[in-house]
Amino acid sequence: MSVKHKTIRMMFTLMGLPTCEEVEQFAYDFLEGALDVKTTKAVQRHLQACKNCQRFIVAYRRTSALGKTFPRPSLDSEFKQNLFEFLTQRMGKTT
Amino acid sequence: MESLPKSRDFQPAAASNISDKDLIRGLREKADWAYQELISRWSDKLYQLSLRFLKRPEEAQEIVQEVLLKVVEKIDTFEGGSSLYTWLYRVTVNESLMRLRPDKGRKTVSWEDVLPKYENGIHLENFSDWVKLPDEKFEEKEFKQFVQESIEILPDDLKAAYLLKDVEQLPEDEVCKVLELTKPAMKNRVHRARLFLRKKIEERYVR
Repeated sequence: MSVKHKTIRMMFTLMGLPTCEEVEQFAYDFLEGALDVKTTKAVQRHLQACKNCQRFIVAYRRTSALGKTFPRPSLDSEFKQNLFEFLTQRMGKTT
Repeated sequence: MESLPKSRDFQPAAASNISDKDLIRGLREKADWAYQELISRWSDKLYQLSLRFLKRPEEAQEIVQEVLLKVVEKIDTFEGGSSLYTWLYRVTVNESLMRLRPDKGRKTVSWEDVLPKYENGIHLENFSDWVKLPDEKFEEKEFKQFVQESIEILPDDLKAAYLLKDVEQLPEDEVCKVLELTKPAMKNRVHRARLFLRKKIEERYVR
């Protein structure tokens, strides 16, 4: 293990904060607001101290939000008309 | 799709207050209004979901037809243990994935390249600053196309979880019911899909 990583790890341990890996594992629940208060505060304090995790969370949040921008095409009315006739006819035949 | 004579007109239902219970009763009675309600309420949503798996509109339309036919044919066996909503989404996901399976030429994900790397819990890589990526980029056709192609590479189980949670915006409990997963398993799949997409976007647009 490099001295740099050893020092950072020690700093987080002394501060009672999660590691970067733990922050990643908390990311889903952190975004959902599903972590308990103590863990949320610990993650927030880690983020204040770790620029790399700040960037990770920003990217993770934007990736999650990406889905909202997807197009939502509709079926045209002719298809729906045909579908209605298809269902009524098929179900009519079976009874 | 089968070609059919036009006998009755489809009347798109306005936003209605018909409950699932009443709709199911109407479907069991083979009532026209119930078929209309089923199509009005669900066909666009099922089409959008299927289209995200399959890309081809014609195939997605076929899935909608197959799913709604399956549902009306089996409505007598529907016991109400789950909601109609869950049932429709589950059948749509399963039918869409069935269509995907024969496509052996699909690329696959190399997770070693995707998952963040750590040394004793500390990041081994420096992430790029997504603040540099403007919101407008997300609206560009080329960007959306890239994201769509990236989603296609995802393993089916992760793809389904991501599409239902982040794209269709279903509540967590509903995603779990549709995919028949525990909540930790569902979260894990969505999380890994996000990690994958984050990595793909960062490599292409943010560095």
